[in-house]
Amino acid sequence: MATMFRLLPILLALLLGAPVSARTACPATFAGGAEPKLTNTKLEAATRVLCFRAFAALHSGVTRTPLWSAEHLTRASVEAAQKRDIRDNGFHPEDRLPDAERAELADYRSSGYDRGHMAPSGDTGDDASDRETFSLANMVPQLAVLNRNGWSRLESYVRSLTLKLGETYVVTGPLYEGTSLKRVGGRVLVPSSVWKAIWVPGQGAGAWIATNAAKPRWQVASVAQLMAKTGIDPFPTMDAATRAKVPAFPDFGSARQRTRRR
Amino acid sequence: MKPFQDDKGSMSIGDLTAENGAAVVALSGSVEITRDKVGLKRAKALKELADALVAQLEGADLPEKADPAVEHNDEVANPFA
Repeated sequence: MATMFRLLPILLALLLGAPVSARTACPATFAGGAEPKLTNTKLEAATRVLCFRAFAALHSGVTRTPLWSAEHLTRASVEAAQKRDIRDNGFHPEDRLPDAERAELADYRSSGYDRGHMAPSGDTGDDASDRETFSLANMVPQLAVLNRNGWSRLESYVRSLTLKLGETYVVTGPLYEGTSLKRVGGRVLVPSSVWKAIWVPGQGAGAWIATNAAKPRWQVASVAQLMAKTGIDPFPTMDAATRAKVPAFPDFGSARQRTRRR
Repeated sequence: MKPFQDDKGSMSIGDLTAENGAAVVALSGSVEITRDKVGLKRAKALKELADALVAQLEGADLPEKADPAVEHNDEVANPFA
């Protein structure tokens, strides 16, 4: 469903005589300026693109979660993030979304699930950007055993990779597999897995998929394999060869692959 | 963050995260206390958090062990399948 969030930039572009291809609201966040694309059209219902200071998200009023959150990390942005040693924040509903489409704090209360960030708080370099990552429009119900362990190590790994290689484009989201899905608060769908795709231009790309289960199973995948599972193309401008390659990424299913942040 | 006073607060000290809740405050992650000024700042933040937790618990009428929260989750057909 197209909404004002999506249409406004197009209308402005038309008024100003700019090319309509610049339709995305927050192009700086996306690799090649191209927003992730839904290839499974069933995902499109009640979606809205939301721009934040440090990331962009496609919110679904069906799941009441993001379907993807996209970031562009640079060595400078990670260095700024790592300087912020003690941080104070708060989860909050996304007030740009209609009540019927958004998650509320009460939906997650005593659900047994963490509010799992898609774009991580730890990637942000200032208080305002960090606070925005705590919007429920950037959260999915994620089991603590995944969120607080392997997933958190993956987030640190992406930061350390960015410091080493200079810049990364990162897209993170939930995966909904199976005939039925769990739901919390009678409103928010629980993903069966959570995934993260990265692209280091000129160096390579790939993805991780971890099951949202008591004993999370991890898979390192090519962007093409990820797309086939999720129905989402995280990097529409990516060439076929980069897309097909399964990268030699570590997986974070055991505590041994601990990466250090400092 | 005021422990047990809301379910939205979250704070981080290094990679250690504290998440507030009315029934549970969850600490996760790790933090290194280095023998330098960064370490001292972290140690003080940890102490402040621990003191606030103890003060809240000492000031409350506590059961021996709280009943685990009852989950109200349900299951629905996958709209994307």
